[in-house]
Amino acid sequence: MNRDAPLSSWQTRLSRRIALAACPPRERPWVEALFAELDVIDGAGPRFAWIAGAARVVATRSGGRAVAPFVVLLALWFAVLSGAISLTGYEGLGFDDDLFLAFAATFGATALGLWARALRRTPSRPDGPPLTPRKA
Amino acid sequence: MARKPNSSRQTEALLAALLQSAARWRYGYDLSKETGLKSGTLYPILMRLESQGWLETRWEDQPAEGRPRRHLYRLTSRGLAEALASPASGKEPAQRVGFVAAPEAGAP
Repeated sequence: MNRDAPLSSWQTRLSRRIALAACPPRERPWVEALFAELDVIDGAGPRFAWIAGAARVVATRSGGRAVAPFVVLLALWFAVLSGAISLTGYEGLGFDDDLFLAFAATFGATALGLWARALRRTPSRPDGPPLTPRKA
Repeated sequence: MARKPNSSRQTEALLAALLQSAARWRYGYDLSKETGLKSGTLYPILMRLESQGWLETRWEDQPAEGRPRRHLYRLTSRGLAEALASPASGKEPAQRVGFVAAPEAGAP
């Protein structure tokens, strides 16, 4: 296993978990199969290409449900990063540290908003019986 | 006019790769390298072939230490017959398939 590869880390494990959670149960062995191959792929480029393909498969099979968690996590990550930068009082390159504080607040609010929206949203594939047309 | 199933260029490339050593179980990454198909293209085809009964799958028995089990793929007898009947390679069936020469190995 190429443990030095940049993607053989918590990012890969997190991506795998999100992908597994997003896919319908009968598709999960295929997601496992896709991620199991990563352990024999050397080099960041091929590994990234493989993960991108896996993301495409998951996005298609999950009806887009897998995309929302990634967007929330990305927004959260930017919020944490901006918050950390503002706390250090960094003011280089003409940037005021208050600007990073504003970024942190914006990204944090975006992440929370997206999360709340995702929780409210109805499932894309309801399990109930199909709707019958109303009689005239 | 409806197109013949499994006649896309990518599917035919995959079937040709599987036919090369039809008795052997193959890994997804090896098939990807051999056919030049990206994972996002290869796996939907594998999934479709499996659901149509052309492909059988299994997990490897003894993975190397510290790594998860990998998924293996092989044509079923039906898949073999259909792939051989396909005009994709333009060769005679005997030339297309490495079935006889390939070892009856489990995992590659």
